[in-house]
Amino acid sequence: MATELWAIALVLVATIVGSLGPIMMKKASSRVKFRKGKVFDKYLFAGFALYGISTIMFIPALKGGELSVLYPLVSVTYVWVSWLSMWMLKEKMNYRKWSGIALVIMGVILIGSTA
Amino acid sequence: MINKWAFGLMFLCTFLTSVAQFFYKKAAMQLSFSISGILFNMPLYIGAGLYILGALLMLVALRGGDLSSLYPVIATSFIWVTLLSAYLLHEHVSITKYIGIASIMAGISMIGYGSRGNNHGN
Repeated sequence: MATELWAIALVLVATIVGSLGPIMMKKASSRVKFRKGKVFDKYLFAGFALYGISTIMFIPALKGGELSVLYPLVSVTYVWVSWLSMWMLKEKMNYRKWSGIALVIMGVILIGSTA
Repeated sequence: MINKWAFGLMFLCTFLTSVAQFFYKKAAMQLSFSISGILFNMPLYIGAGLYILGALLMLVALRGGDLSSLYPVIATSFIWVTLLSAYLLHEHVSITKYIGIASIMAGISMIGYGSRGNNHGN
C-alpha cells in the first residue's frame, strides 16, 4: 500500500499538536511544587491532553499508509519543539544543537524505516 | 543552558517509558474485555506505573535545563526498544538499525555539546 497524502498531512498536523505537549510540560515543571504536594498543574494536564490528542490523530493515519513511512515522519516533532522553545520559552538554539537534531532525525528515519 | 543531572534523568525516564511499552504489549496480548480481565491485568498496571513514574521524572528533569536540549533525549527510546526487542523478543537487529542507533547517539552528543554554557536553569 502506497502511503497516501492525507495520511502524511494528518501525521504532520498531529506532530504539530504533539509538539505543544513538551512545551506545556516545561512550563509545568517550574510551577510544580513536589514538597508541597502540588503536582497537578493545569499545564501538566494540558501537556498530557495534547499528547493524547496527537496520538489519537495518528491512529486513522495508519489506515492510509505504511508504518515504516509514517513513524519516521513523527521525528519532525524534534524540529517543532526546538522552534517552539525558541518562540514560546525564549530558549536559544545554535548550530551544534541543530546538527544534533538532524543526526537524531536521520537515526530515527533509519530505525523507523525498518519497521 | 543545562545541568548534567537533568540529562541523566531524561535518559532514565526514557528507559522507563520504553520498558513500559513492553508491558503494554504483554498486557495487550493477555487482554480480555471483562471486568476481571482488566482489573487483574498486572502488566497493564506495571506499564502504566512505569509510564507515570517516567512522566514525573521528566517533570523534574525539565527544571534543570532547556527543553530544546533535553527533549531530543527521548529519541533514545528507539535505542532502548531496539535493544530490548533483541534481548526479550529475539528480534534481529539489522545493520541499518545499528547505523540508526549510532546516528541518534551522535546527535544527542552534539546536542549535549551545544548545550554547554551559562546555566540559567528554567
